[in-house]
Amino acid sequence: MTRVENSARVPGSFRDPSGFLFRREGILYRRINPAYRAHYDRLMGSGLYDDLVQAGLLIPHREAAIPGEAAPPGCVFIQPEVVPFISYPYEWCFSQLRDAALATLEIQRRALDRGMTLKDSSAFNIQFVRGKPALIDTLSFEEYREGAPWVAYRQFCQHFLAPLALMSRTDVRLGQLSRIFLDGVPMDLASALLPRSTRLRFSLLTHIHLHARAQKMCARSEGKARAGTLSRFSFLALVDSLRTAVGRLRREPGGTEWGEYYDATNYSAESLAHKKRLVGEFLDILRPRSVWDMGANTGMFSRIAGGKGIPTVAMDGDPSAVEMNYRQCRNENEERILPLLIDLTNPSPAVGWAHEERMSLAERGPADAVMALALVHHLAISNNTPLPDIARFLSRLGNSLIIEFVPKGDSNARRLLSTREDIFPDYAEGPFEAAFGGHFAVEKRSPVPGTERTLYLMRKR
Amino acid sequence: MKVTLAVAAVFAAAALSPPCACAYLDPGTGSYVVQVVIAALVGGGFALKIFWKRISDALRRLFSRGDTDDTGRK
Repeated sequence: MTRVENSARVPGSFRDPSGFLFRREGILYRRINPAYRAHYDRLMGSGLYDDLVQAGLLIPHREAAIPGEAAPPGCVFIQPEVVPFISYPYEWCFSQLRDAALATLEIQRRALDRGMTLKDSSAFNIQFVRGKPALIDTLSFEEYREGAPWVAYRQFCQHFLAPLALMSRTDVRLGQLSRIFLDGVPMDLASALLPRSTRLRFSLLTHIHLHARAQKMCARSEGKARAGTLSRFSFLALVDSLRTAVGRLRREPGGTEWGEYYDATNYSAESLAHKKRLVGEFLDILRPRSVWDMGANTGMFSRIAGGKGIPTVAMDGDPSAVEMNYRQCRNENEERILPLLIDLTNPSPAVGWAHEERMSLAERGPADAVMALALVHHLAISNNTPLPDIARFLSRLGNSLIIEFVPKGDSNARRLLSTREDIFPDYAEGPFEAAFGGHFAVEKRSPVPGTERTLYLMRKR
Repeated sequence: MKVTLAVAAVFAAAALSPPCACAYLDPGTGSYVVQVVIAALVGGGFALKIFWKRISDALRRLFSRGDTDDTGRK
């Protein structure tokens, strides 16, 4: 047995016999097995690889030699570009999933032009790189055989079309189904959850409702006859039809509780400007290599970090805020900011086979710096989380912290308490500093002028 | 009419099953059948779309000579 077979295989990389990802001395490699070699050579030789990499639709790689270790006969080692932050479809807003779907279909169209096809179309194979969706699985291609239908059609519908249709036509929160159904939303479930009016739209009628019906009928029939074939032209027509289906789905972010937060904020323009300046100064002191902005809303403060060239993940639990943030990133080509839908009171867990296929949020850290601005009162008051617990969790997520304390006297905190009993005698600046002092050393402490709030710069002890 | 045809086609095709896909994913018999049916249904419209695109591209080239991208891609 070779060292590679014994080495740390990336836990989610086990389904495809074409190869697998592994790490050696902290470097990520992909091994290409002999059985896949012909397809890989076709990818590289047909011009498809260059075409997709140039278009930003596929992450680049280089063939690599591992010092002191020969590749097994017929195998190739490649070293793919490292994606700074791995995100998952259940952490994407509607437009992110839609853009990822359209990117997948564009890749398939270009692959067909070069005599290849996608043999899988998992949404987990797409990552946001420099703000745009790109395929990270170099082994997703195989040679196209004339007449063969698309083996990944069902996966595309389950991973992309069904959740998008549900988010668009039923409820945007149904995007979270992807967290439960890792192989995509079952077609029968999507069909049952979609309103009847979707049967009047040809693309949804066929790709979802009839698809679900056909699956059910074929499951019963245990068919033994021969299937029809799909010519290359028909294949392209199918891909075009899916592109139309996805392209016509829309979802406009509605105003939600905190979606209009910055408009409804309780401090003046001067206070806001001062807070921004303080955040910028604290970032200049820390000079972090990565920032996680927790409770980022539409990303106003994430942009300060992004503007300094720091890769920044802007997390919020409000789908409308994340949607608006992503659209701004897309419109303004903000490559450094990755908006994600993450509720800090229930952050993404480790899921999948052996709890290892998809990482929890904490496993993807720690970030160099965590920003928690106007967040602690939500966790402490709305979610009843004790301050020491908040401090402990944030110390797992980041090596340093820019955090704002919002006292009970602040109108936003008062709003949270207006409909409930105040059971938080320890929610005050003293206990806050004591709780965080157990994990962090306070380096700076600055009041935000014109407010009762205080901004802290802390480093992990 | 189109919808009725689609329903009929799926029902008729549901008795069939695909040959071995030789894929590591199970493509699903129903998914195989339904994509063949859908592709047949949308093929005509797609042909018209391609035809129209070629005409409009040719007209665009005619009226904006020298301004087009010779790769044909955005």
